[in-house]
Amino acid sequence: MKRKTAVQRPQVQTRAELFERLQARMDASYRELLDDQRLDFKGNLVKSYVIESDLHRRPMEEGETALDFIQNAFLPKGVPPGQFKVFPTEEEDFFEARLSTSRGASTIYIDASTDRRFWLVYSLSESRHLDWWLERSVLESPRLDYIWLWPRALESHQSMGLPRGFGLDYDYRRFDEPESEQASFLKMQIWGGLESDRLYQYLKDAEKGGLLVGKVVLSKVRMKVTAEGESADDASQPFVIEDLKYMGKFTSRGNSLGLHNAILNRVRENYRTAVEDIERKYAIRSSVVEGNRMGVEGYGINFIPDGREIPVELFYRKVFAGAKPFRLFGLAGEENKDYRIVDAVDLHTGDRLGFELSPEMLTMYLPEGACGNTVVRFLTNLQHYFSSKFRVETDNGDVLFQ
Amino acid sequence: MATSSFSRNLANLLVGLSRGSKRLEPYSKHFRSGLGYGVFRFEQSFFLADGRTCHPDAILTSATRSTALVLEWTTTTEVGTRKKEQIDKYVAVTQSDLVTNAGVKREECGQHDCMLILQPQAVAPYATYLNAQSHALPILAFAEDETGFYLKLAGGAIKDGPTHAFFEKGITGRFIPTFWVKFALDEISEEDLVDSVISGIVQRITRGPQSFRVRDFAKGLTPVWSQLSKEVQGRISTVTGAILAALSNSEDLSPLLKRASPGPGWTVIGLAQFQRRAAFYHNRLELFRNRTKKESPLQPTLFD
Repeated sequence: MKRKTAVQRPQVQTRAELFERLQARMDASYRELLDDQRLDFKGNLVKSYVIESDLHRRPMEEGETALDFIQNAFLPKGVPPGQFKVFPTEEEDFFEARLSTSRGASTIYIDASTDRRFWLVYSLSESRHLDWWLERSVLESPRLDYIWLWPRALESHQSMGLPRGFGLDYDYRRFDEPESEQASFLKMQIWGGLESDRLYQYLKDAEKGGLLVGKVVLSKVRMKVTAEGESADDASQPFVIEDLKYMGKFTSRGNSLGLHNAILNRVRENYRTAVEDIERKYAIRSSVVEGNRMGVEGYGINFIPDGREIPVELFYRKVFAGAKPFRLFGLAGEENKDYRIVDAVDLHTGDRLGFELSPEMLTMYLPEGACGNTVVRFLTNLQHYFSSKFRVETDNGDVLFQ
Repeated sequence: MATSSFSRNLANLLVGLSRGSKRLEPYSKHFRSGLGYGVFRFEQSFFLADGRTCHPDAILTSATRSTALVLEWTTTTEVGTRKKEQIDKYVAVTQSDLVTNAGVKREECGQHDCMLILQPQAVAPYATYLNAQSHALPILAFAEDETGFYLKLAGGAIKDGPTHAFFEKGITGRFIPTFWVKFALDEISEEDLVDSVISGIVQRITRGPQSFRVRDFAKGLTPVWSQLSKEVQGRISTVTGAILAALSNSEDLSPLLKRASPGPGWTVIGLAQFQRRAAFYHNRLELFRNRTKKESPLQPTLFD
C-alpha cells in the first residue's frame, strides 16, 4: 500500500484566508458553548502572540529576507531541520511554519507584513507544544523577543472590556539565601465576573492586601469585550473573552475574530509607541551636537524600589551572571560594596547596557541603537522575580510605565 | 596630572550635573536648568594670544549666565614649577582666547573664570601661592570616600553671583554616576578599560563570529568617543589592543578570542559555546579583570 505523504504547501495563502479559518474555529467552539453551556477550555482556541523581531534593525542591503530570518530564528536547537518547514504564501511577508517534534506538532502563521518589527503570530495548535516552541525560539535566538506588559498596561488593556479575572504571581527563589527554607513564590488565577475585579482591587490595597502587597504582580488579565454599543449580556452579539498574558500571549474565546484582532492591534500599537518613545528620548547618543557643546543626548533610566533597599552584592551576583530570566552578563568592580557599576551585555539581544547599582536605585543606560524592549523586559523581570514595587523615573524627571 | 579615579569621577560629575541625574538631584536640576551650564569640551587645547598653549581638563559654558568656566584639576599637593607655569597661563586667559581660539560662543563667554579643582589637603598650599602672586583663581575642593563625595568652593570668588552661590553652598552626595566617562581622559589605563573591553567581547559573541579590528571595537567603549581628541582615541585603541592580547593569552579565556586568520583583527567564539559555560566564563573573566586592575600595565600589542 502506498504511504500517504503530507502535502508540502501552506494551508492558507493570505491573511484573509487565515482569518476565515480562525473565525470558523471560533464559531465551532461557540456552538459547543451554546450546546453544552461551556466554552471549549483546552485545545484549539485561537491563540496569538506579539513577537518582536530585529529584522528592522538590519539594513535591507544585507539581503536577508523575512523568510531567511524565520528559517533560522524559529528552529529550536537540537531539532533536525527536516522537522521544521516554513512556507511563503501568496501574500508578501506572511508565512506558515510547522514544527514536528517528539513533544507534538504545531503550526503557526506569521504576519511580518503589517509591522516589520512587532510581528503577529497566530495558531490553533495545542498550547503546551506551541508555548514550548515559541519559548525556545525566543530564548535561543537573540533576534526574537516577546513583548513585556507591565501591570498598568495590562490593567489598561483589561479596561477595554469587562473584567473576567486575573492572574498574579511572584517568584523570588533566585534571591533566596541558599540555607533558607522559604519557598518564596506564588502563582494564582481567579476567574469570575465583577467580583474578580473587586478581589483584585482588594489585594492591591496596601492596607487590606497585607502580606501580598509589594510581592504579587499582575501576570494575566481576562476581559469580555463586545462591539461598541452592544450589550455585554447579549450573547447573540459579537463578543470575545480574551486572556492576555504579560509576555504578549492572547487566547480568545467567543464568536468574533474581528474583536480579537482589534485587541491584538491595540496592544501592539500601544506597546510599539512605548518602546519607540524610550529609544527616542532616553537612548544615549553622541552624534548630535547641541549648539556648540559636547553632543551627548539621552538620559539614565532609574528603577527605584518603594519601601526597601536593594541588596547590591546579592543583586549583582544573581542578575549579571548571564542566567535566566534576566540573561544579563556583566562584571563590576569591588571598590564599594554598596555601589556597583556594571558594564553589561544583554545576552538576549547582544546590546550593551550600562548599570549602576546602589541600595536606593538601579540606573540603566541604554546606548544608541539598543533595543527599548530591553528596558521593559528588565522592569517586568524585576517585578516578577525581585519585587513588584518599582517606579521608573528618568534622569530628566520623566516617569515611565504609569 | 590627576589620578585615575579623581579625574574620571570629576568628569562624570560634571556630565551628570549638566545632563541631569537623579542621583545628583537637586544640584543637577539647578546647575542644568537654572544656571544653564553644559560641558563644552573635555581636554580641549587652545592657544593664548602670546602663543602659549592652554590645556584645561574641561570647559563648561552657560548662555543663561553668559559665563565660561575653564577647569583644571590636579591631585598634586605641592605647587611645583610645572603647576606654577600652568597657573600663569590660566591667569592670562582672555575672553578673546576662549572665543577665537577655543571656539566658545561669544554669548556663552561674557565673563569667564579659570578654576582649580583640588583635593582638600592641597587647598592651603595652592591658596597661599595664589595669594602671594595676587592671582584671583577660584579653588574648588573635591573629595570622595566610601561614605560619599563633595565639591565645594574653597577659596576665591567666582565672578558670576549665582554660580558663586551654587559652588559656595557646594554639592554633596553618596555616589557619582560614572557611566559617561569610564576612564580618566588624561591617563587611560588598562584598569579603567578592562570592564568595557570584556563586555565588548561578550557583545561580539552574541552578535556572531565576525572578525573585527581594534579601532572599530574601541569606538564602542565610550558614548563620548567623537568628543575625544585623535590622540586620546589612539591611546584608547592601543590599550584596548593590549587587553585583547592578554585575554587571548589567558589560559582559561583563550577559547573566547583569537586572531583572525586570514586578515587583521580578531574573532570570537559562538554564542551557544559561550552560553554553555557562561558561569565559568563569568568567574574567569572576573578573575582576569581583578588581576588586570592590580597588576602593572600590560604591554601594548604592536599589531592588531
